[in-house]
Amino acid sequence: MANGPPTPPPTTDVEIQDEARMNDASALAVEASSDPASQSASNAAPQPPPSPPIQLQDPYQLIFPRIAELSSQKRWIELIDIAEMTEINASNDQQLSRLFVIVPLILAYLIQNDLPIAKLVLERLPIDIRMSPLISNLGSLTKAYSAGAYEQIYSKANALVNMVAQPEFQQPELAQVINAMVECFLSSFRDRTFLLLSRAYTSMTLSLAEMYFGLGADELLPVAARHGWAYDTSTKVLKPVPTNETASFFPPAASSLADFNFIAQSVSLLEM
Amino acid sequence: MAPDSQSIDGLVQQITTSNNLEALAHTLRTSGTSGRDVREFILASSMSSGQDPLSVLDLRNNTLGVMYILSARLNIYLNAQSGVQRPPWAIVTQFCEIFDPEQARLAPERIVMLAKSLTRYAQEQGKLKLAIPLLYSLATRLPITLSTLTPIHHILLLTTLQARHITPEITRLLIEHPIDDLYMYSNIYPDHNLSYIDNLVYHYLGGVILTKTGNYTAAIDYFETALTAPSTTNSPPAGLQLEALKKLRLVQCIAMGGPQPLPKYTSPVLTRILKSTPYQNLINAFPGSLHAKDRGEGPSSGNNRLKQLVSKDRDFYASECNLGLVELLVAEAPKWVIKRLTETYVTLGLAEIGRYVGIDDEQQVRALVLKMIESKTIIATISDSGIVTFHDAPDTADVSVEDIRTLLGDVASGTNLTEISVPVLLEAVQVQSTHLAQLDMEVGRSKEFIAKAIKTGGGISSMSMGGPGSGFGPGGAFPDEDDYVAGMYANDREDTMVFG
Repeated sequence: MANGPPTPPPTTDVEIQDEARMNDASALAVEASSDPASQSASNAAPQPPPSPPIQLQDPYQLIFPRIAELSSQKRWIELIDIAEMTEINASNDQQLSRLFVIVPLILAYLIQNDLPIAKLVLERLPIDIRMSPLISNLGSLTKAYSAGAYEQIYSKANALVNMVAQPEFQQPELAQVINAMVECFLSSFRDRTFLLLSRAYTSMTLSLAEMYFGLGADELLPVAARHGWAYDTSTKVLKPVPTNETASFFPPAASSLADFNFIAQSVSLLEM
Repeated sequence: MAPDSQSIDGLVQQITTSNNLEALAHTLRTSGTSGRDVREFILASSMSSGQDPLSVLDLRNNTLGVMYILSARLNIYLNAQSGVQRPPWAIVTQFCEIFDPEQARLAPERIVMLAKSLTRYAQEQGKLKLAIPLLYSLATRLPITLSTLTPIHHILLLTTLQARHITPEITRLLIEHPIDDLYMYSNIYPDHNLSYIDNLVYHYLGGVILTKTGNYTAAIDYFETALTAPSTTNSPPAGLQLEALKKLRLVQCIAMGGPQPLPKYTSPVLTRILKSTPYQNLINAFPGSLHAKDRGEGPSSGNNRLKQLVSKDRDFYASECNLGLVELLVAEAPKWVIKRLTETYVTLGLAEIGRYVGIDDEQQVRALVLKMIESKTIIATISDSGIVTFHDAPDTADVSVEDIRTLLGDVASGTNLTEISVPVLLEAVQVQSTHLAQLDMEVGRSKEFIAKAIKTGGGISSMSMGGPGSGFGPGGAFPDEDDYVAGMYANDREDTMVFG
């Protein structure tokens, strides 16, 4: 078995996409009894052929209350776990109600600053879902975030919030969850930006700061002052102060004999 | 009590009443007077009462029996479809989640069979992603540690990629549990054993997945492992290893600025072949590489050259499915130009940086520099007039929280990492060193290693044997301090040898 295989299996992107497209085509001829034993109460009944938009056995809609609950408690990791599990186990992933799960999932990844996986989720969506206005908005937000284009991030986030605020958007619970999560995302994003700018800038103009934070001067200055940033009103220049995000290591309060023994033991092991 | 192992009823009875698992395993494995195929059919049939044997057996307590029946049924259903009742998917899922690993280890080849059949079934139904959690469960629960490679691992990764469903769980498995052991067993079905290609495929696909999720350092490790997997002497390296080398080089450029030296035990055939491909020119033109001829040559010419090289061979890269990585490489090139600038300049204006990099828009340059500061690629500060000042690395180790997290493993998941004190850190390091010493000892004990050591003679005596302090010569003279006699170094005595 020492000779290599003639061709490697289709593992890289384009070939995988081809495989997946072949799989997708046969997904429509699916047997309904291959239902999973997931926590959604889907039973083994066959699915009606052209599925009406809202169905009682729809796993996405069934799991959504739980997702909403986790979102209000800000338990992102659990939300991601449940959403991914639903994604895998759902038998029909072409239906639009998948948005109930996908949108919170992507937003949760963004809040956790897990950008590559958020992009992978977007890439694996079928064309119809990707074309939906909600996803294209979310997609542009992700793209802006990935490029580090601060102004665009704030404008896209606002666009998303505005979109779900329209009366034509008929899912009020989803709108609520989206609003809450976008807010969380913006707040954690601003925190991270704050730390980064404290480290990266010795001085910056007010207008630049407004761009980075997406806030006007009157909201920004109090926050900056609270963290010790000096502001020169004449030149409109802010002087950030580098904060210790996490102090490297606290020196141990008092070194005990036990500590000493332990360290001596470790050193002796080193001799071996 | 002559147990009837020729009918399904008899088998079920044995499974449910047996107290001795080893005996049961033996009974199930040996097909007796009937051939192997007939035995598979028997396992796949319904009971004489028409009942499904799976409804009689308990999935957890009778794991061994259920394993045989499930794997036989799925296999025959897929291959022959001759009236064999397909096991309900819900049962398969439940089994994968709750099976008893100890029982499963008595006949691991059946689990491998099950893994392969269920993947094939899911694929034929067009729902490949359903197989992913099941494969994950099988692959992680079957072996004793999570870092042991089974024949199921590479199927898991292949399925993940084909279904395009990469989850944080898989990434975590790859990063936190790199392979350090192999799950080998002897069995009567040689095609369900762990093979050399499985290892290659696993590490190659692992590298691909980790590259997609942006974990470049781990991806580099995985590609290197695939690339340097030893083959038997005198046989050429596998084609997959060449692919791994190509991707390794590309990722090294993206993540580290240029190609890094390969381990010494890499096959030279691979490097020779790579030199004749367009990849070599591309890598050499990359700003961080040692060969880049445009060090200090005019501004942005290097970047243009990269783009030219790429557009010239675009179709080639696309046919090798590396175009995405190559384009990413071109996009990341400016960063490494900037990194090189830090070696020469202490301060530089944003506009000047833009000229070097070939980007006119100052805002874009600013964003780029900020990104590099964020990822800690450079240490710099920007002033309001747009002057960037580069700093040297601080004296105190700037160890970030995340670097420590993987070292501490499970310890740190709940605790606040800022309060980790030195003793805790020392303890974690100690655990790692004992683990390493153990691995070292195991390698030193292995038959092949000792055989080779004796053959190559005293030259390697002081190498990686944990410092025994006494070498051994080529079967002839021995140092005076030892009492060893020449005969004691025969291979069959290796487990009584004492070092040092």
